[in-house]
Amino acid sequence: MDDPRFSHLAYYERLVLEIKSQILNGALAVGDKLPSVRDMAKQMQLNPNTVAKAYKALEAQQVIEVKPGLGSFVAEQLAGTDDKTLGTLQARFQAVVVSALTVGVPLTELEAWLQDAAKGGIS
Amino acid sequence: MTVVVEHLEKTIFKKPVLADINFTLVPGEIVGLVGRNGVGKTTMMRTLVDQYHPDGGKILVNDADLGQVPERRSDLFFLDAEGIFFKHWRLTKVGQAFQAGYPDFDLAAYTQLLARFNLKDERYGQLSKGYQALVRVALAIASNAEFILFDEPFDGLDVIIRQQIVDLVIDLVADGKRGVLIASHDLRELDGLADRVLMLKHEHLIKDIRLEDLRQLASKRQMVFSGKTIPEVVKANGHILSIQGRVAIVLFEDYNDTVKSEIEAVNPVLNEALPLQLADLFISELKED
Repeated sequence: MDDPRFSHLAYYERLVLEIKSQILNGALAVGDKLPSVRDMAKQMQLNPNTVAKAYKALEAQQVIEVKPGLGSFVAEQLAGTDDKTLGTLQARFQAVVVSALTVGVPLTELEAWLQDAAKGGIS
Repeated sequence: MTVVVEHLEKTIFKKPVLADINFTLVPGEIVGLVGRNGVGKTTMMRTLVDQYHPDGGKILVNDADLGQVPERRSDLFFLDAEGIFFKHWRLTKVGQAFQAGYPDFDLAAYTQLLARFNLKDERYGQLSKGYQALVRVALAIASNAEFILFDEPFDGLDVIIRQQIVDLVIDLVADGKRGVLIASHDLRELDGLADRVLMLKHEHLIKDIRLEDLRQLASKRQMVFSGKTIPEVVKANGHILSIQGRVAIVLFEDYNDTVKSEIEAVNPVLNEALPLQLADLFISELKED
């Protein structure tokens, strides 16, 4: 939760990104069970409704899968994201690229940002 | 399953301390009550449990008016750290006394909590400040009252005890059956923990904010502009928190697409997001006077 890249976001968004980063860097593997909302709230010292909201967002994005009575699990097909999600992501990415180029960030610099962001999840 | 406070008034020594206070508590929520020292947070809690008799307004607990149905007061739990009557008592006797006062008091749960903190049958007054705080929280939990009021529960506690108390508060609300109101002068204590924050200033409740919603809208930004003055669009939409040299730190309560594009239109040299803390969101209110 202390990742400086995400510290300007709402807490539930930070937790969403924290869990995604853990999936990227291998700390969480496909099929792993996430702590219950209550346990995650205690681990993060975070409001339980905030944790529940993060889990709902992750479920809606098909990053995790809720098995009733069993808990939440890292979903099987991380790559199998639907076209709509991909389209939204692409649009957001393009908006950032256009904004950056408009204020004069060189393309090489932008490429370096992309590399850094990707590494941030892996390192 | 709610506490509804309507037009609550309290005057002490001819000085109004609470005026036209309105808010609602629901189970499953942690609500913060913030305001500067001496603003009346403790008075509010004492008035809610009729330790101070309200001078006006109503407190409805599950639709029952506490003024008319005083026995419903046991649905609210407040333990005033200042007027502890059991200082010289052993912890077992303290539990028995609360069992007499709260019809649903769970003595077994109280004993289990004490055991979890490795407390035996010490006298309350001989415990350290942190363990006294844990005993008070254990009493609140074991009371089984639906709504718990905590006054500065983290004040002066070390990080380990603080974490234990946060865990207990999370347990209290996590199943959605009980609600918590926490008064604190320190906004950092509530950051991430509270669903909503009520802000008391002078004798009024000036804000009732759902924090995650606000965090999504708000943005604290570091900005530099090419001109000598700060553009109008920034002044109109944001609170300028500080200016150092050419760098302005600005808080926008609603950094929406319109504001964003208007700011991009004046070509800032620098415009980047900074970490947003709860204190930032209230700083403009807290700074005045």
